[in-house]
Amino acid sequence: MGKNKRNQQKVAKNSHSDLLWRDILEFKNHLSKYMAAYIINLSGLESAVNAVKTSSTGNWQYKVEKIIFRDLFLNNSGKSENSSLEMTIKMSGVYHNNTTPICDFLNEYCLEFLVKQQTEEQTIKNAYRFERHIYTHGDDTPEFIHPVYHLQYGGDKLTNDEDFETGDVLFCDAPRILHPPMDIILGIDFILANYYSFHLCEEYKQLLNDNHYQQIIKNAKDRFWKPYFLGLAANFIGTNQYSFHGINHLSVDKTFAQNLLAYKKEN
Amino acid sequence: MNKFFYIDDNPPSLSEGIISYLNSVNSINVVLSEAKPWMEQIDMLQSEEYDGLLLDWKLGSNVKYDAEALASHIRTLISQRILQKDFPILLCSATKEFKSIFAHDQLSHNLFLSIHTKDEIANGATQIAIEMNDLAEAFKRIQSTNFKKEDLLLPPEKIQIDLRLEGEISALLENKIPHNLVQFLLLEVINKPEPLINQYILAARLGIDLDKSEDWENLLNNYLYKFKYNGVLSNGWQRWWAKGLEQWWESEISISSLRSRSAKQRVKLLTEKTGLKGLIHAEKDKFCFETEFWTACVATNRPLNPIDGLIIIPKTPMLPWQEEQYISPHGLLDDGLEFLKNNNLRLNPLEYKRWEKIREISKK
Repeated sequence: MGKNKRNQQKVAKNSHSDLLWRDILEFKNHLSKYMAAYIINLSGLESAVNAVKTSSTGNWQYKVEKIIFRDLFLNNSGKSENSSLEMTIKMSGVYHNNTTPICDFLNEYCLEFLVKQQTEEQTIKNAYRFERHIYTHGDDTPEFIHPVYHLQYGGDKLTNDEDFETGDVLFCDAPRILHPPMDIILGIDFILANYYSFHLCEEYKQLLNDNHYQQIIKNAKDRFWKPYFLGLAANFIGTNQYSFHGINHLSVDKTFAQNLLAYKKEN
Repeated sequence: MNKFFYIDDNPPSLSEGIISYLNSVNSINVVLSEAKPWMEQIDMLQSEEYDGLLLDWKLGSNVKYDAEALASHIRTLISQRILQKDFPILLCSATKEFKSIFAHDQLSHNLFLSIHTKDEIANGATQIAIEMNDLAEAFKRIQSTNFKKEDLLLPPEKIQIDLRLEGEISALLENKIPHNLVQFLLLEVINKPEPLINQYILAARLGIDLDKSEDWENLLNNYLYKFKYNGVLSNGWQRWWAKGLEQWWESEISISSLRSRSAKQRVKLLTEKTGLKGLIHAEKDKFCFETEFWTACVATNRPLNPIDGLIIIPKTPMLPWQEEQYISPHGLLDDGLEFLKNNNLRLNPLEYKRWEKIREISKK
């Protein structure tokens, strides 16, 4: 009996890997039910499902290029004609299975999106990149100190165009702003929340009111944001031990916690 | 050489044309067999040796049955193992509207591997004969005793087949009805994008204008052959591995992703690396904005960025590993609705509003 129970627990633990791909698949089904008029190539999510399922044991990875959103609500007056957004995401990580101490759970992370609007004369663009600092040259301290997970505005997606005009704006490397990592689920949810009006876009409203959708988003936050925010908070509990006494003996890997605030070699 | 019976009710003088067209390329041997009364016809099909059938749609008033009934009965005989060997059955007709009429007859779609008007056979006999031969070969290969699942698609080493596609193939192989597997392969793998793509999508992803590029054949033969599809049906249908293209691009042309570059940049890089000067980049069509092409219009085969296209509903529902297909505004304005109807495709209802708008703009 005792042995049986242990085996059951083991099975339950392994299912972390199943939860990730299942959630992406269910998420895709919800998008195609409510948002198919706005997101025109949902097949990218299916390829992510397969990539997660075929990753080597204990790891997962996927790369999906250009999921295309259209008819964005760029301001509060309704749908913007000829507007679109392209999202590209590359991510790989390890299943953390709620182990303690909490440590970094991603190896690679880059989520970019490019917002476009076609006018009669030209295409106007805007770009954002969420990423994990890319470790190179033996983990040297980077030239500009920044949080390991961050958001940066602009980038070469915007400026590599020959016809790029800056007007009165100074274009230099934008500051890297602390931001929790978003997987394909949280990333798309983020884009929908920012570019589809809750008041004017009936389909988006229905999607958000769907209980199963809410559950999928919650699962994704538990998966990626819980370790992130616990790691962040561990910098401020004052014991210099990076552990939350009394809360399930929860502790956080010191380097991980410090990197979330600012990546430096000494960390 | 693979032998096909062509069953028709016309007197031999009227059927000779079609047979001589198909036999002229020496890849198959088509033999005319005048339609016989039902029992006699079944007996004949059980006793003769052949590798496939081409049926005339309307077998005529003399025999009092039609091609669908005959094909359906043959399929039953094969599934009951009364006929020992499975083989391809194709359909043709002299009626010009035959394809659009047949498109509505969902019940018969599973019986025939391909359907052609006689005009299409007269004008494209070479390609059709090669396809017929390859279909016959596919049935032979699948029914050979040493055939394994791995022999079907033969992906290059670095390409992992989607698990759901793999599962579908395993299930079809276990069913042991070769016709179902070949039909699945043709309909769902060869004729829909991803994991394989046709030459129009291949050219679009490379940013190349097929009509203007003299060096296209050179590029195909000297470079792109590295990720060409070599599995079952690859002689009749030229296809390439979509993932193979991306891998090849990253390893031999540029480490930066193919997809995020304009057609002009893609072709510039290609010319630099291959030295082929006769590659011309594709321009965007009317009513389109983007030159980062990724697909081809189903009607015009011209390069298209998905955002500029209108989503279509394919003949059979999209399967998880497949990519959406699109028609360009230009293609739709230019007899596109007729094209969709004849090919059993439909415009996705989500696109009706946009289609109306495009039509309005085009009138101005």
